[in-house]
Amino acid sequence: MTTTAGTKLATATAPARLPITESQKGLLVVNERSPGRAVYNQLVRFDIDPSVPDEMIERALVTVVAVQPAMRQVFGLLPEMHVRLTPPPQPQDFPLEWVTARQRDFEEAVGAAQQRIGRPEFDLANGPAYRFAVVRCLDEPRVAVLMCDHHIILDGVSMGPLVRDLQEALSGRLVGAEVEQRRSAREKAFIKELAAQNRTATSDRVVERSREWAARLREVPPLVLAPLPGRAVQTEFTGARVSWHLSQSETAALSEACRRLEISPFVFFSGIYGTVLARHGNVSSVLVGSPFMARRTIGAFELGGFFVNTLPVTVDVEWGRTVDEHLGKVVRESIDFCRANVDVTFNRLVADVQPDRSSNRNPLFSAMLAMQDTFTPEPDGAVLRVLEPGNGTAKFDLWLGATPVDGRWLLELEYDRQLIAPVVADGLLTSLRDAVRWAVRDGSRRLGDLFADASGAASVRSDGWTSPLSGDTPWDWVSVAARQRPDAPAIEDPNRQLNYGQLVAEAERISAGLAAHGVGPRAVVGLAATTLCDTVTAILAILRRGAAYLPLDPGLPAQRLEYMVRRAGCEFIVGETVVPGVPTVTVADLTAATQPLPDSLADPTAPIYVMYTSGSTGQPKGVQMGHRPLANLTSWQIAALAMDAETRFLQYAPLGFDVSFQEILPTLAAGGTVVSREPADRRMFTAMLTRIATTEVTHVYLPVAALRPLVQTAAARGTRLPALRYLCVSGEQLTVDDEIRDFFLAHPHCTLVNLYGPTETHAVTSHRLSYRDSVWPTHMPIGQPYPGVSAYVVDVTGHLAPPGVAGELLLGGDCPADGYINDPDSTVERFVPDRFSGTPGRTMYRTGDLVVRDDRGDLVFLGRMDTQVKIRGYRIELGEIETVANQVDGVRQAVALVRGSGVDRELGLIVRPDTDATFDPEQVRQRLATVLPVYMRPLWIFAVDVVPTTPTGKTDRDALLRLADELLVDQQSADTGEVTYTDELERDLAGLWGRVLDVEGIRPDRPLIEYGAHSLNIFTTLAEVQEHYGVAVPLVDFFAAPTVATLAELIRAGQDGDAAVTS
Amino acid sequence: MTTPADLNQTIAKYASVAFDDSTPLLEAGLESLSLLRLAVELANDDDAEIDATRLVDLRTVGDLKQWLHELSAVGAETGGGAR
Repeated sequence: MTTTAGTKLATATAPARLPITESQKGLLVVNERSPGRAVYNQLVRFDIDPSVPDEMIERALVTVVAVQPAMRQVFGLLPEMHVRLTPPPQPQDFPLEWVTARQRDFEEAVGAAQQRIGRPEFDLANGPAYRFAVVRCLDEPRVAVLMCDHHIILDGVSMGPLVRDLQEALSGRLVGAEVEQRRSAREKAFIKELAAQNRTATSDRVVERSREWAARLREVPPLVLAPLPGRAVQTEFTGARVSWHLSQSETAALSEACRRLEISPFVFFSGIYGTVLARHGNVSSVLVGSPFMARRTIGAFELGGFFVNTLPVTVDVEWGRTVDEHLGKVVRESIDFCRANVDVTFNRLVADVQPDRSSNRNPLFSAMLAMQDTFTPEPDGAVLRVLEPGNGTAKFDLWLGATPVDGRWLLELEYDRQLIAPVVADGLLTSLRDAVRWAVRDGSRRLGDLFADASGAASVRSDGWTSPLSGDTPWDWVSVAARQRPDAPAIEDPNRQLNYGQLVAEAERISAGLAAHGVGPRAVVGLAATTLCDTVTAILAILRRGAAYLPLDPGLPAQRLEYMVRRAGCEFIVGETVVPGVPTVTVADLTAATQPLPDSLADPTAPIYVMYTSGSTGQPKGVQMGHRPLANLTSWQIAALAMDAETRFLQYAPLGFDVSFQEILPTLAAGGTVVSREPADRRMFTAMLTRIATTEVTHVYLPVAALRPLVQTAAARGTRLPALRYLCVSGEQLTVDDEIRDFFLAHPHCTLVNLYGPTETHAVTSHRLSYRDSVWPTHMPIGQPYPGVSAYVVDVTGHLAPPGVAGELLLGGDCPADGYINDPDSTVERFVPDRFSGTPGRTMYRTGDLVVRDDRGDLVFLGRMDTQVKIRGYRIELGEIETVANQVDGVRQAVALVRGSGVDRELGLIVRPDTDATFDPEQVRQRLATVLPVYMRPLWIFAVDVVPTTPTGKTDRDALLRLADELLVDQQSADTGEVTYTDELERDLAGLWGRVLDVEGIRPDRPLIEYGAHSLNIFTTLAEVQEHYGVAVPLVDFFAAPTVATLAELIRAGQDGDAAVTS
Repeated sequence: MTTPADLNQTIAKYASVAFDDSTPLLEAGLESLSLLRLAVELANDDDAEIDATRLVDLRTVGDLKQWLHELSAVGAETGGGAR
């Protein structure tokens, strides 16, 4: 229905206007939010007695419409929403299609007819809101009568009265004067029911209860199924179904469970469905929408009509609770609450909850449960079977229909195809099946145990890259390379070059020096050398002694260094004096040792290094990493990054960052060359780019935050890097934009590799993109684990998560470190027994990272479990906001920030403009408003000249937050508080809304929702706007940013558009 | 006015097992839709109104009978429409 038709209708001469039900008002509004998609068209198929002749069928259908006033409703919007009843149809105007088909084509013909009558939209302003088709089989006695109607005229309960009328009409019992008599009685009953509905909706008691209920609904987190980045905010409502027909014994067991718990099947299915949704949505409370019968007058039970009230059932899920307590108490009480408040309408609740309306999804619940009425054929009745087939649409993210068919429950899941992939829908169906079966079998079972592990194969499916290593320890790898090609270059720093022969010889002399100082197996040796050559020779020497190295960056605070050394039990340091009191010898002095060369004590069972995690909370923890994980990593990396003797790997990472291992040792194991970044400063991108170009390195590994600046610098200066083959990044979520992609399109020999892994396991998964990939996801997946690594996604129930279900990433196989050095408590907490491997004694590491497997099986990082950014319950992805802001002209870099805590949390955006651009925050604000939902839009936007970074190259958000605090104080003192409008149109519109909402001084840029606007008064006010300004403002566009300024903009755009057309 | 015997007979049409006044409705196989159908069948007047919010308080067959009595009494006294 269009608003144009609505206004026309208001002036037409027609029968009396009747008030429509609150539910119909709500449906008119949501219908308008999906224009052109016929989402609310519903199909019914009646298989009837084939001996009834065609003309009798036609007469019967016309009769049903005549005696069911609901079928004859047409709708108008002004001066307020109303309905009129049109006269009974004349046979010549009756929308009925005749089809004949042979038996083998019959079902196909039925399907095609369903599409023909089911897909076109209805004109609700003029009617009719129904269509029929009759499909007769030519060579077998079969007839199917198909009906399509708009949901606003008939609810699910209507099917009973309708079928009864159809039975009578088909059998010739409802004819002649009886038709007219029944029509008149039914119209009276219909009008009475409408009046009764409207009387109840406005009582004070209802208003108060609605407010209280709304307050509780606001506490329930939004249910987001398959929370993949880039999930559509608006959808086309295309749907598909998967289904499960319970067996007879399963159906009987379900009935028995209901009897035992004294609950209805509706309570049972609500409770189980809610539990499935909680698992798949990673939440502990969900809202399940359900239609509640709201017919009030006795006479209305003979009527079709839209008299249901769809209400949210809150299902609280505590995973340790038993099935019996959950269903018999928690869910039952929750549903009783809805039943006792069935007079609170959906519309009123929405108005009181004030949910975000920037998407075209249902404002209160994304999942729906419908208990479908069941049809029992009458003996000798003309209607043999009634089916309600899907129409290829999905009104909700997920809908569950439960229908008793042939004495067994049929469960159908209908899902929105843009939001839920087929494999994810299958996972939902599996969860539903498992949960139903367990729940009917064992009432004492805990809710978490209603589910099974998803396929374990997904956890160990790897990218397959491995290469054989030449020995058990890094010392062996390098020694072998040196024997094969002693003259090949191994290390290049600005002052020195070492070939493999020199590298090994120097390392051996240092190891002799270490031996002389008593450094032997299992010692932890501090390493604070200044040049790359010294660093690498010292590492090899320490490993040759069977000891582990502990990187000590002289730039760290003395206290921190002291803590690291003490905690790791380090009693000897190679290089600079960084911790006074601990014996320290320079590399040069160790090299000068004259003692005889001891044999290698390199030991594959010993640790290789101790590295401290940055420790965002509390003290940093020293991770002790063994040989086995690092050998597995090296084996993967040499193959995956095509490393060989020609490889030239830039050494960029600070030594205390585990990436440094990947830059140095796999390169040496492959016989390649490690090239120092020096003299370039790590944070000077121009200098870094020059260094990368002139040294002709083939492999570069950067922190994520450095990638954009680097490609921007390359683009700005026209620098090409023909030698570069692999550009690796890690450390944060990588969001890819066109600038980054363009670099790789201009460098088709170079592959972008996104690596993921905490210090406690080193890098364990990767995902790659290159010019070959036609789609570059903005939010780059972290991909697949390496061979030998198990990447377990463990959901909220403690089971392996099906695809599309978010959970914590646990890492097992050949990757967990030995643990935290000298910290058994923390070690036991994070390194836990691997219960999924099937092999006792194995360990997995709990990363605390929230991830999800997408429908291709790739892992996608969603954020930290403990510091998830949530605002008003919505999980916010800062990178998504940044990506949008980065696309605005003149923006060089954008950083989204969360300021404050609890309910005061707010989003802000810091922008570093291009140096030559004049920056306009309004432009960024507008861009964000067109793309992002309201809750993802920053409250403030500030420009800065420099974005500070931490020592490891990550964006320093804390420093930016401090800066924002200062800027906000400045801004506040400058604010005046006077309302100004751009033009008269804005002023008039503010006046109009002021009258509707009874407030003064509406700010043009403040959402009208905050002044009390809700979908109904928006709907009618837009109709008023159309009448006044002649512009039909699309509801969806207005809801994207419901302000006076937006409305003025849309009206101007509409007027310009008209002018363009007529001129 | 419906007699107690009639009432039992009518309820029995919708119930799936034998019952007395203390039988919980769900045990008797009486769900909310059956309750409404019963109300429709027993109500004297098509214009009588049902307050659906009260259905939740009906736990036993006894509660149901009481409710059905009230419903038909109201319909009879006021000729419908009143609550």
